[in-house]
Amino acid sequence: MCDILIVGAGATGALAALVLAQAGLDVVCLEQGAWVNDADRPHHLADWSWQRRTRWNPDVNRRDHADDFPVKSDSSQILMWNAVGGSTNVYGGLWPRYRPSDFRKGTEHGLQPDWPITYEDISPFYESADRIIGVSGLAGDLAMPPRERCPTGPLPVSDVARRLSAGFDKLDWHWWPVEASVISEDYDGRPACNNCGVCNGCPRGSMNEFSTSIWPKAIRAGCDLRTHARVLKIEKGADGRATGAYYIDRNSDQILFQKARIVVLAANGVGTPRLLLASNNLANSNDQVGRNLLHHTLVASEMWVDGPVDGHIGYAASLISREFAETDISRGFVNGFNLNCVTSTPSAGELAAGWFSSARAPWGSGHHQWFENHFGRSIGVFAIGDDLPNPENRVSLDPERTDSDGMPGAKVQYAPGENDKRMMNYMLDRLKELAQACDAVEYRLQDYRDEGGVYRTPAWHMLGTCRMGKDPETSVVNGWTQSWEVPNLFIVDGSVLATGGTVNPTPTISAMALRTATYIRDNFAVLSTATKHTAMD
Amino acid sequence: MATNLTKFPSSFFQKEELNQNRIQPDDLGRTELSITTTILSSSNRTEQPHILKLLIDELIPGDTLWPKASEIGLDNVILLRLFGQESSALFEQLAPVLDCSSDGLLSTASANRTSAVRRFEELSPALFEKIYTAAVLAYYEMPVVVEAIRASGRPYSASPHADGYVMPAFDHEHDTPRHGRGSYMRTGDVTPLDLSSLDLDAVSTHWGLQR
Repeated sequence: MCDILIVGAGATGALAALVLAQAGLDVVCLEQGAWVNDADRPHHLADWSWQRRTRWNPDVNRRDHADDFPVKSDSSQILMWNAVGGSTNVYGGLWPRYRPSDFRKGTEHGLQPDWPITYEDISPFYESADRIIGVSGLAGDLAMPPRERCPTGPLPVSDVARRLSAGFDKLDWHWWPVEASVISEDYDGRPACNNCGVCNGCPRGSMNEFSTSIWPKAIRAGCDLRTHARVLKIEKGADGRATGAYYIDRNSDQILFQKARIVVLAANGVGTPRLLLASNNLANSNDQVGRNLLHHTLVASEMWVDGPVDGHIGYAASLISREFAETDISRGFVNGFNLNCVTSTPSAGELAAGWFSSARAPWGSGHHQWFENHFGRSIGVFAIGDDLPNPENRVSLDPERTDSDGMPGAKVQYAPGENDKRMMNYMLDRLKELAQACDAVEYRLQDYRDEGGVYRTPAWHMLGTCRMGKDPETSVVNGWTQSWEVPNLFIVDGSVLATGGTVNPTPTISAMALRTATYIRDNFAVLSTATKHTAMD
Repeated sequence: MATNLTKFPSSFFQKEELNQNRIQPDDLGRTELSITTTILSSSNRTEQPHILKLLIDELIPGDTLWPKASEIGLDNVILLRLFGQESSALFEQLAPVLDCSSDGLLSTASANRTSAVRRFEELSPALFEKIYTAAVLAYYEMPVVVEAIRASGRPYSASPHADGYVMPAFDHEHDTPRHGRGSYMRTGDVTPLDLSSLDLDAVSTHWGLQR
């Protein structure tokens, strides 16, 4: 019997383990994958750009890895990594926060629910997460609530950022240096970013990977992290409480049972609903588990300017524009979006083969001329917005495929709705304006629709599938991310987010995980025996 | 301490049966082509590498600054990456879609060779895409090509993670934005909006680049 059983050793599992183990609780974490050794990573290899499309492809369906489980999707490119550190092994490290209005969409327009908490509730945990990670950035953005000074200062300003900021200024649009989980100076025993540009995880540790920055501390505090331990089922007792989890030790093929007083799920927005559904429909009497999948609205543009900006150099992101982050009904839709300005690919080969859009070097006699005209002159911009929930956008169990240990795979259905489509049209128009304002000599927009018109978004963000709420009928967990039905079951991954916001969600997910872990820590005696969920104010 | 189960329900875990359902790797579409064709005869086996060299030189030719693809051994890299120990599979797939006659890829006339490659691209876009992508990525990894990029005057490292690039640190005095733009709605300021003008239920928007 352990005090706390955590399922999943990604970002949120790591943070929960850190808080709870440092409090002296007996914590076990089960991770279906392995440790990712620095030496195994592609960054050091000559063929790293090839590896990013094959063995290290973030799309779970584009690589062959025993640690993964199959995810059948009717549209989305499912981007995740199953290992210690989770998807932070391959993420880009952008670290922006939600806005106060993101928590109040029910009040604002009613097409999304209000969160059961406010920005003010989560704000201290944003700061805590930033300090743990060493977030780089610049305080003082008028488009956001005041924040403490970032633990490390802003990253260097790239020529891409200068070019883009001039364009934003011409349009009179907001812009600000992007916050990142990439340290701009040595921090907590890790070296400062060296501007290499290969921002798919970071073996140096300059970009915060939870496997190298958080997990060692959690383990030193006493957490028992077991890799190659795939959870098959969460078990529930007669009193309605979770009793622990069956898991397979993939090294020995033994099926084991880990008893626990409290169970914390941290298996991401696909993995967590999959596990609950596979656990005899646990915590799902209201049929909400797996529903309301959010990916964000996402479109992009690639532009080329008339002189070198060397976008292959420096951190992969540059600026963020919050000009359109709030709802403005005159645009014809609710909710807002941000412009996430990246730089370019660090790989000449990726640029020539096609990177951000359909543009690529032609084969034949024009190949080298194209390359000479485009290399060092490319800039990428994402528009990322708040998609509306739809119960039919969902994660369910795949009736046909299983993982290598017999667990059913996941099935994902996702399609944008009317409001989302209008927003993406508006985004595309703004991206065109930005390219023109930057004096791009050429630009190419990307709507991620295939030949058949299917929206195949790169789904880095898998949110909302066990959402938190005030109403037990329309949500899976309460304001403490505690299951309405199973009082000693908590969820700390992106599935609990009630709305997707207009930004990369990892900072918010991390802050939420810290908040939940702190709550469990401070109320462990009560929660370890409670047979009803906590009443919320 | 975990408890080793000796009587786990057999219906819950049937590994032998379940393993038959494991997904097969997509591997860049390796399984998407199912071309039934006659394998090039053994007498032609020696010509196979030559054909691939001719093909990749049409894809990435050389000039005074840039080496052509075959000069730097790209054919072998492509074979290794795409087909590993099964290099003959490439030629099985190429045989029906790539004209290797003296009027096609083996022609002395550049226009004929270009036409042969263009026809290959039209007949088998997936295979063409696979080969071209592999060729391009491999080409720009090659040291001589990296040197050619550097010769153009741009800083470039093929393995930048080791040493990174030098960039001036953020200068608070000069780099801090001074535009004064930006606002946000505070929690208490969020109030209900009138959505009646949106008609979100009745309209079906055509969206994207083809609208």
